[in-house]
Amino acid sequence: MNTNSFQSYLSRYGAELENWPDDIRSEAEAALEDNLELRQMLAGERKFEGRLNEVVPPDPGKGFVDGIIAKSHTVEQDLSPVQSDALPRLTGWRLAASVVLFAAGMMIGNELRVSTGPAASAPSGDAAYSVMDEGGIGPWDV
Amino acid sequence: MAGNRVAYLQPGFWRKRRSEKAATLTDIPDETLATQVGEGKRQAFEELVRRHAVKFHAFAYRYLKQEQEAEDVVQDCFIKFWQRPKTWDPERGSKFTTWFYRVIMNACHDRARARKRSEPLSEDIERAPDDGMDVDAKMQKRDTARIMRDHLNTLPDRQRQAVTLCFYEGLSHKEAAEVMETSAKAVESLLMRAKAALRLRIDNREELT
Repeated sequence: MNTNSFQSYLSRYGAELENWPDDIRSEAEAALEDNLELRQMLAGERKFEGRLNEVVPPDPGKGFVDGIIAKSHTVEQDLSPVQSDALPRLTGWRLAASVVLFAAGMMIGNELRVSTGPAASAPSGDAAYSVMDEGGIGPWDV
Repeated sequence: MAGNRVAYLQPGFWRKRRSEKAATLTDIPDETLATQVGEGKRQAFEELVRRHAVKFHAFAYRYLKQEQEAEDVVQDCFIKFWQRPKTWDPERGSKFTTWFYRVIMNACHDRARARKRSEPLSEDIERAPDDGMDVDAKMQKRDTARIMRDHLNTLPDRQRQAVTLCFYEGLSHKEAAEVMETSAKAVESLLMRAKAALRLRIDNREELT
């Protein structure tokens, strides 16, 4: 274990070697015995964590816990299942509805294309009659 | 004759029974208690509050940096849980505390976002533990705490969350990842970057002083 990997493990798992994964810890403990630099790094990490521990949040006091319990006495419980529990059961219905809508959309779209598609590109007015005269197909022949 | 007396008439029976009941309640795992809250058991809810409210308050405080807001958030979350206990789904397989950390974190996030839109609150002054030290030592400790808190506050949100969950709350990387809805590897990476940034800031400050 070199200094880079040791530093990386220190940052990841902290200065308490008991919290390290077993295989890495045994390797680290062996390396620490021989390497003064690693021991200094461990001491540095302990000092650093000691500083982090200086940041102590305020104690809210016992009244805080009692206040939550007291407030819970003023509200009713709703023991019905939450919405998110019901949603997965709807998924199958949603899927079926989507398939039906998609199929219906395809059919309607196909009908519209058949009845209006060629007409849109067909010549209109005198141009249509001239096409017929030339032996072409009018829109009513579709 | 005394041997024939009914058990509950014997001296100390009820006291013993009460203490046994209390002992068993404290032995019940969080997840079982949370499920019992869903069955309307008030004692289970109260036990969860007693076990964890202060810890969650510390977590919320580290996020919001404002004591009153932290208290409000934790109270709201617990009351919402009491009102709609089925929001806890034991079948998901996560620990109750891991799930509740996520609930608190989301509530803190919403609160902080709402605060940004309105008037920002002033942050509370960091307190150092009062353990019978003399005034100078107390002041020095308080200064160190304030400086460290300032350094922590300059970290990006995700890095600060990783430090708070893993270092201060003692969660494993996997649990922290669950709270933060990311991977354990990502948490490790956030931790490494956070610590490197903090060390750099501490070193820079020490060079200046």
